[in-house]
Amino acid sequence: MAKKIRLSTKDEQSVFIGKVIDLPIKKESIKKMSITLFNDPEPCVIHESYSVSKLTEGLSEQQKKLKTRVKLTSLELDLSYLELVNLDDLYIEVVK
Amino acid sequence: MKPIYVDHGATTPLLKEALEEGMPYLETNFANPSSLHPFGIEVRKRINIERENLAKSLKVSPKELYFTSGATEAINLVLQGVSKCVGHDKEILTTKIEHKATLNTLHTLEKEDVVVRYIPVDAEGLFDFDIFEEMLTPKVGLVSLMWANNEIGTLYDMEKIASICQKKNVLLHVDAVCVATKIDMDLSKIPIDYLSISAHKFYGPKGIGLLFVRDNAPICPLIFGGSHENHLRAGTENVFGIVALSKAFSIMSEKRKEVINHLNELTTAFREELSQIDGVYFNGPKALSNQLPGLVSVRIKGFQSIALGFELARHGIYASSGSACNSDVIEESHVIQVVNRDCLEDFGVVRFTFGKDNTKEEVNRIVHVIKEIIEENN
Repeated sequence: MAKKIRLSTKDEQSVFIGKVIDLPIKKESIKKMSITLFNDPEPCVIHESYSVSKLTEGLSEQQKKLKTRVKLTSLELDLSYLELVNLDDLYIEVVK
Repeated sequence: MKPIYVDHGATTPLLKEALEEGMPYLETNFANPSSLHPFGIEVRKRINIERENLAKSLKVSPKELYFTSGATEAINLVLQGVSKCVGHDKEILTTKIEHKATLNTLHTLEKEDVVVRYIPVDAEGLFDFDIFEEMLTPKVGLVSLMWANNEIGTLYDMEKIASICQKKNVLLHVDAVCVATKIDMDLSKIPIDYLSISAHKFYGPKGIGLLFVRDNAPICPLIFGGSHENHLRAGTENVFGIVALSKAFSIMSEKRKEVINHLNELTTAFREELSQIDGVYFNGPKALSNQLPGLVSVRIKGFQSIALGFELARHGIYASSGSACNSDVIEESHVIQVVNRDCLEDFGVVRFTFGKDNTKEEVNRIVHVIKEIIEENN
């Protein structure tokens, strides 16, 4: 879970390097998840973290299986919660 | 796979017997115990019977027991109520690893110019009795300490602490939440002045607690209204809670030996297994005699506490990270910050608190999951 990932463009420009849980997440997505989980549109920081961990759960699971650099879309996950542009063009890999 | 609940330090499930015993007081025997008609009188009688039963267990007088909404209220009542009675010029002595119910109440009193002094504790949560005795100057009016720490499981020699307080003529309040029914609390032998417990930590219901106030020990009420609880705590009694608390206390006290043996077996096996894993360290006391049965607090290298808790939960292990919200920041538990101040960097802390129904197989699975999580992390 604490292994880092790198998201990059086709020409290897890094967009994000860090832990899955630290990915930039849309505030709206966190709020939506918090409402689903806690019925709370204004979560405290711990509930916010938990909401983020639930949003990124699928990505964390996929991260464990990643052996090479692959296209993000190949993971077949709904990543619309990510505050990143051009998701369809990004690649993901696990980094130390 | 069925989740494994190892967060009994947070709360325990309600005993079926306690629920059944209390239920009539929500349904058929619903009357207000203050009502002077047969329905009400019957309920009043039951409250008095349960107060007497609890008094017998604790070896005190029924008049020295007061029902509250829980330990937080009981602790508030003692700290604020005693301070109000003895005057704000008297100092209060405690440690920085008490429960927030104590610490935040004391912070409030500090704002009202009450002086609070903190007994220094070591990495195991223990303190030096000589230093403690030295700190008990004539200015000190009250000492407030936990019988066992809820986060790292340090178990204190309360007989010794109480005798020192008695010798120095200082009032002693004990937060006994963690030890209630796990230790034989014979208050006829231990000179404690005030003691707080909460039912939901020993398989009773939430929303009910018990406060012991030794006869003639000073205390003033904080909640005003009717003459309930001998004028100390106004408000119609939570009869369901009182009856269920008493039943749970009685059952769990009767099973004490059996439960403690079981908890010790589980935690011994758990500690043995964990001690063989690289990067796993224990928080709290080293000697078994200083450990609260059933509690194991560990720190694991390479994690953040909150994320470690989430990860365990994702694997079906429900434990506690002890982290807390402070404005917009997730803070490490205040207890861990005090006892492990030198080795917090890059460590995730998690507390496992076993209950009477946990099994050795569950211990094995938790160990397996921890190994798996560490492996995934490397």
